[in-house]
Amino acid sequence: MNLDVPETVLEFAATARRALADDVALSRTRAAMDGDAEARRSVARAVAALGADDLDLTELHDALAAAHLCMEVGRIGGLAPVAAQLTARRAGRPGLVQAAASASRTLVDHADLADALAVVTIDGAVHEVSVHRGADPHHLLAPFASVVDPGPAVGAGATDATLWPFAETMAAFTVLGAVTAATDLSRTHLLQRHQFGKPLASFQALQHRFADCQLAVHGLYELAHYTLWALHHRPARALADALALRVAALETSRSVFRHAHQIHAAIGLCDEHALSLLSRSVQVHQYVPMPIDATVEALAVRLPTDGFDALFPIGPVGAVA
Amino acid sequence: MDYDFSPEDQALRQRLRDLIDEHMPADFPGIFVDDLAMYEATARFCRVLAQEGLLTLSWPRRYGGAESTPWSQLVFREEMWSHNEPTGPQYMGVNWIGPALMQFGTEEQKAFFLPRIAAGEIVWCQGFSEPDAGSDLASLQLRAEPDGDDFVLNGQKIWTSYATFADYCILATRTESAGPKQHGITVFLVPMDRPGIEVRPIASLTGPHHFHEVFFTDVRVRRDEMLGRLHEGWAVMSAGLSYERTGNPRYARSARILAQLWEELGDRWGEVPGGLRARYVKALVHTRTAQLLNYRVVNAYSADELPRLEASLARVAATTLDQEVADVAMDMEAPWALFGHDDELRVGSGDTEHHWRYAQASTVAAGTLEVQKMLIARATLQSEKEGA
Repeated sequence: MNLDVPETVLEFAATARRALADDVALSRTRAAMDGDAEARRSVARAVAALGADDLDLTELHDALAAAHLCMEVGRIGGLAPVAAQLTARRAGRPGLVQAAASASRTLVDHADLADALAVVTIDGAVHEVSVHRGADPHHLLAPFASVVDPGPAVGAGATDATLWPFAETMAAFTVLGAVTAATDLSRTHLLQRHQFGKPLASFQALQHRFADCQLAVHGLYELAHYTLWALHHRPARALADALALRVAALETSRSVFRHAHQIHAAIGLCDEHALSLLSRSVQVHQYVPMPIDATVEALAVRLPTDGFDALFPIGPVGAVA
Repeated sequence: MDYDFSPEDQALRQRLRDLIDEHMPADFPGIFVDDLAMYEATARFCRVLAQEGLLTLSWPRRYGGAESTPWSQLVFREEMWSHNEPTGPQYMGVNWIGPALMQFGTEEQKAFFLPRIAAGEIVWCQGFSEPDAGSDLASLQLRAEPDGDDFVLNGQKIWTSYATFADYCILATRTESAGPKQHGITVFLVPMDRPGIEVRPIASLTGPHHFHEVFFTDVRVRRDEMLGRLHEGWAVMSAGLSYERTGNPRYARSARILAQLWEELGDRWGEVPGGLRARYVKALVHTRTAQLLNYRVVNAYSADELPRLEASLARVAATTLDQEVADVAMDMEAPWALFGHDDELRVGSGDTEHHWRYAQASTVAAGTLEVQKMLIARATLQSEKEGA
């Protein structure tokens, strides 16, 4: 048992942060959300320069590096489709592969940045998709989302049961980056903003909101890392684990942004502030491939067959953890 | 990064489960019941653990321990918590009073107490809280007045668990009122049969043996019964935290309750109302998260770090989980869960009713939820200047 993330991964993540969260990060995110595709392309180029394409995603070490890269992109509002790009690489496909609930009309973020698009359904089948309608920055909660229609399954219907879990794990790390950034912003605001003659940080009601943010973010951090490890060491349980992670990611995202908006009050709702942009950036994932209740139900219906690993396992899984 | 326990720790877990199966009554409900046989079972089980060399895993070898890793200690604590604490009240002597004796005790105190704790022969109660000293423990007022070579105790403790079982009380007293309130506290190791001690059980929702008032009227204690130095008992009391290596594995009981519910349902999972199924699934996810948050704490201890923030996070997660799982379990077994271990009407193990009552205290005991959140905020909201 050892929960330490390898130093090499942390160094890679630190390099990624320096490359992505530069002086123009906020204005670039705002420009991207206003429809400036070049702002997103510049992030995609920066990600490529970091060597994302050289990662061997079958190895836990490199998959961890990939996950931390997703986290860094999440911190700046998900300006590049890194999770979907990495999923495509894992599937041996070009372009983007995004998780979908089923082979029906859905949304894909950043479809315009890729030449090839596909979705992976929860049963592991890959479907190429065609864009029905491109992204529109007027959709404030989905400024990068294109509407796509899947075709028939590719590869004669061959499935990879770990692909959907991988896609959702990378997506969860992206969310983790966003909620971490939102919590960092909240901390700064609580310390700097004064009301009634003292910093907001001195008000216990706000301290408790902030403590709840910390708890949610730390919990998601731990669960995301465990899930990625389990994907490599217990792949037979990958879907149940990924669904559990998605439940946690959606709960965390809702709760942290709720608290962060309340802590920031009006300024946090303005696009001049990073919180508004971050808050907008996580909304597509909140509902695609499916909203929280459907995610919970997807796990519930699989419990009798897939089981759930625990100190006292549920259903047909192995012995003591 | 590796989330697998070592083969040794996996074997330890299995060995503990086998010992519990072999030596504890089936469906052991814990000792917070009216049946004294359950308390007696824990006393026997502690002696079994002692004989097996498992009771004092964490202790140094020179005191009869195994100097085991924090991860092994965690396995032990997870198995005890999940099985309703088959060591009964003795966890306290092993977990912190023994180590406190090693740090602060005289040679005579160590020679007398440590072998007895290690053999599973002594039950302690902890005399800290008072009616006006709860979360603000340093405000305690029970007086210890010097009188020749002795001290004379007068005052009251409250919420004291196991007081009717206990052989000894580790008692925090006020020996000086001037100065900061953390100063002037002195700790004594007091035999509970000493004249002048009166124990009154407090009937409560949590069940028998949880709460007592303990009154001290002209109780004489000797200077050689003092643990640590005069007026410096706060250091003894605070040291409890520094012996902690396993965080707060309460989630282990939640995990077992959820698995028991699953077993009880058999093939009727599909008949459970959708809303309740969803809450059960979320409880599974939250249990895993609470477990992992606690593993972060143990991971830090393994690296000789002191994870204050992480420990508070893990405690909030595990204690609120207690209540979440208790509510899910009650709803799943409604209404028969209300009858607990009733032989005729109980559902499954009967643990749900007990767990629900126990869970009401989870966010109060050992630092309330609100205090924990304050600690989290304090640790994370320090300005750069303060935090550096």
